[in-house]
Amino acid sequence: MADALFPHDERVRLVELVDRVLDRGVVLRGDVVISVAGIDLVYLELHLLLSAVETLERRRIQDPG
Amino acid sequence: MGVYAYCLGQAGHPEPPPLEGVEQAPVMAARIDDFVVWISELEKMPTPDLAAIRRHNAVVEAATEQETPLPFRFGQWFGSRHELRDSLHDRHDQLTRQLRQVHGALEYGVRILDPAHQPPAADRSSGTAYLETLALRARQDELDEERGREIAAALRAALGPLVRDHRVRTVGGGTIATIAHLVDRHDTGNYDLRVREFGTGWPELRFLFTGPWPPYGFME
Repeated sequence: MADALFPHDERVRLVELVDRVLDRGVVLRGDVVISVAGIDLVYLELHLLLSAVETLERRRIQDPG
Repeated sequence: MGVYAYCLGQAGHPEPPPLEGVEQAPVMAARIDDFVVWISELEKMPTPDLAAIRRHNAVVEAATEQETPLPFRFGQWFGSRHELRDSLHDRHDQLTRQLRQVHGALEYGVRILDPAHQPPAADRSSGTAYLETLALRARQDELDEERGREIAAALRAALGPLVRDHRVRTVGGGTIATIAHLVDRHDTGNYDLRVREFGTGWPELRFLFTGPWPPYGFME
């Protein structure tokens, strides 16, 4: 059903699918950063969590370890 | 044996065709009060991975082919049919109201990106520099959020009655806004033309349009 009107590549479809079907914070298996137009949109880390890249960046800057 | 739920329709919603859901389980209809729920019966909660997410969405899309259901997000798990029934009883009026809202409509997505977005680099040379970086980031987020809401409002105004309802999220990180539009099924052609036209008015931004989707964004 998706993209019947607006053909896009698989990356966009995956970003939109994950964004809709999952609530943020759900634990996922995977390890991939999905980027469109040079912007990182979704980060899936192995056995960790689904999060917006910006959220991860904020965590890094607030908790530099 | 537990119950995994994909979506909920009104009484009379079509039966699922022969279809494999998550964990390759068959999909069936559970009739509860005046609802029809597409479910699979599983031994345990399915593992959340991309394959399962795709399978979940494929089932919901199949349910949306003829009539629009309320799509559940991934992971709606009940210990038994009794638990599912109790949950629906508790939320009956709210679910009925939401089903009425999405009836005959589909969701379209608009993601607005700013390719020129460059967050201030983290400066850890001193405590003051570090705090200034945080303040700069916060200010940039505020400006992006304001800009996203303005563009979303302008888009909604440009589309007029083509959009039955909308949801706007501002995310940051170069994504100015993500917007979900609820559009009547018979208006989808007009919607396509109008959103493309709107995007050309903002050459510095990139608009990603996707759809139609089941109305995930309108299930609360």
